[in-house]
Amino acid sequence: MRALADVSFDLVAGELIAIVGPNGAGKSTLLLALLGLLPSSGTFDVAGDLAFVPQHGPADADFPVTALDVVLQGAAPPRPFRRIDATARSAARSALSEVGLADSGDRPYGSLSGGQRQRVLLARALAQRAPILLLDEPLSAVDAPSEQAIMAAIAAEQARGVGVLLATHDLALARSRADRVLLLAGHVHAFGPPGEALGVEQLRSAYGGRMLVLDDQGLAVADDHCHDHDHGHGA
Amino acid sequence: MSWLLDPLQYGFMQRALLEVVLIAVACGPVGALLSLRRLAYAGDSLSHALVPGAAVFISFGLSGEWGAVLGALLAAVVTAFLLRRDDVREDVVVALVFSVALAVGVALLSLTVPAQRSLAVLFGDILAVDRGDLIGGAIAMAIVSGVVLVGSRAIALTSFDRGWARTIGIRVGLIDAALLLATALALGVALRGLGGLLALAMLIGPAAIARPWVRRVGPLLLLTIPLGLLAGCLGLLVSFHFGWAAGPAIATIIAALFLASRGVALVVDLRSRSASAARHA
Repeated sequence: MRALADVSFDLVAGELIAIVGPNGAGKSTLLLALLGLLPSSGTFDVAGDLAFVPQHGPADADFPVTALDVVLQGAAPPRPFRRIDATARSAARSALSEVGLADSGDRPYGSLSGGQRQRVLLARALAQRAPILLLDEPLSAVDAPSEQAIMAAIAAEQARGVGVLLATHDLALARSRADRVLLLAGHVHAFGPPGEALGVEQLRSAYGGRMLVLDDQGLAVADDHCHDHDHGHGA
Repeated sequence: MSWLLDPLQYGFMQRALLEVVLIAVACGPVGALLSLRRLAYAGDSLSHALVPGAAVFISFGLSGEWGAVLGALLAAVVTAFLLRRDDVREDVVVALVFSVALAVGVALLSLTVPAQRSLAVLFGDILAVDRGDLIGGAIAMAIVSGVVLVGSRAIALTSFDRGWARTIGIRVGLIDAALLLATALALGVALRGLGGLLALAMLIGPAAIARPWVRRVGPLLLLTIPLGLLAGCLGLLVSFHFGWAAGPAIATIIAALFLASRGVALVVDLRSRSASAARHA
C-alpha cells in the first residue's frame, strides 16, 4: 500500500518549505523517501547531499559521547582511514555555536536537556554543510530557548542559501516562517505560499472533519494525537 | 617482587603471559564496541558457538582454534541474518543460537575426545599454550585490531544513531556483520586460554570495568586493553601461587575488578552529589 502518492515540488536555494498535514499524512515518509531510506518511485534531483535532523534522537542516554563528538559525526562522517582533523573540529565547534551551545561541547550528550539534544542534532546536520536541510518536527518537545535557537539557526542557514524542508504539525509555525507550504494527506492537497496553501478549503480537504473553523481569522485543528491552535492571518 | 617475577622463569608461564596480551588486545576494544551496540548477549552466543566448531576440527585431528573461529563466524552470519529480520526479537535470536551451538558442541565433544580435552575446550588451558597457538592468535589479533582501527567510528555511530547513520550512506548491515566477524575472531584468540564458556569474560568484562570512568568512545576502547592485561596477569599469578585453574582465576579477577570499579564509582558519585547539594544549600 502506498503511504504517499503523486508528490511533486521544487525547492529554491534559501527557501523554507513547511510540510504540514494531519498525523499519518506522510510528512516523515516524504523526508525518509527523499533520503533514500524508503522504497519510492519517481525522480529527485539535487545538487549535493541532504542533511537530516530526525524527530527522535538517539535514546541511549548512557552512550559515552560528548555534544562535540555528536556534531563531529556530521563534520567528519566516519569513513575508512579518514581521521578527524583540525578543520572538522573547527567546523563542529562553529556549528555548535550556531545553535547556541558553544560552551557545551565537552558535556556528555546524555546529560543535556531534550531541547539541547535537539540543538546538538541540528548542529550535526549544519556541520555537514549540505545544500538542503531536512527537519522532522524539530520543535516537538523542546523548551522555549531551544525553540528560539533552532529557528534562528535555520534562518541563518537560509541566509546562506541552504534550502530547508521542515515537516511540522504546527500550522502557526508554517504560516509565520515558511516561504511555501506543502499540505499533505496521502497526496498533495495544496502547495504554495502559506496564505494560499493554508486556506480554509485546503485545510478542510486535508484534515477532513478534524478541523474546526473558529472565525474568519483563526482555525483549530483537532488531530488524533495533538491539538493545534492557529490564529494566524489569511485563513 | 619475586612473587611477581618468579613465574616468568618458566616457559609455559611466559607463553601464557603472551597469550594474555593477545587476548587483551583482541577482545577488549571489540567487546567495548559490542557493548555499545547492546549486543553483549550476542557475544555470549558467539562464544558458545566456538565449542561445536572446535569439536568438529578436533575430531578430525585439526586445530581446534580455527574450527572454533569458523563455528563462531557461522554463528555470526546466522545472528546477523536473523537480526535483520523485524519479525524475530534480538534476545530470542541470541538465546536460540547460544543454546543450540552449545548443545551441538558438547554432544560432539562427548563423542570424539576425552573428558580432559573437552574441559579445555569449555574452560580453556592457558598454561598449555604453545608456539603455534601464539602465532595463530597473533594473526587473528592483527585482523581484529585492523577492523577496530578502520571501523570503530562507523561502528560506534551505527550503535549511537542507526537511523541517522543510514542517511549519510553508512551500510549498517555491513557494519553489524564486520563487528560480529571481529567478535568471532577475538573469541577465537581467547579460546585456547579461556575456553568457550569463559572467553566472554575478557570480551565484555574490561569494557564494563572501564565504563564508569570514561565519557568518550576512544578512551573506552583504549582503557579496555590495560584492564584486560591487569586481569590476565593477576589471574596467572593467582593460578601460579595458589593452584587455581588459570581461566577461571582470570574470569574471577575480572568479576572482582568489575565490582570494585562500580563500587568506587558509586561512592564517588554519592560524594559529588552531596558536595553539590551542600553548595546549593
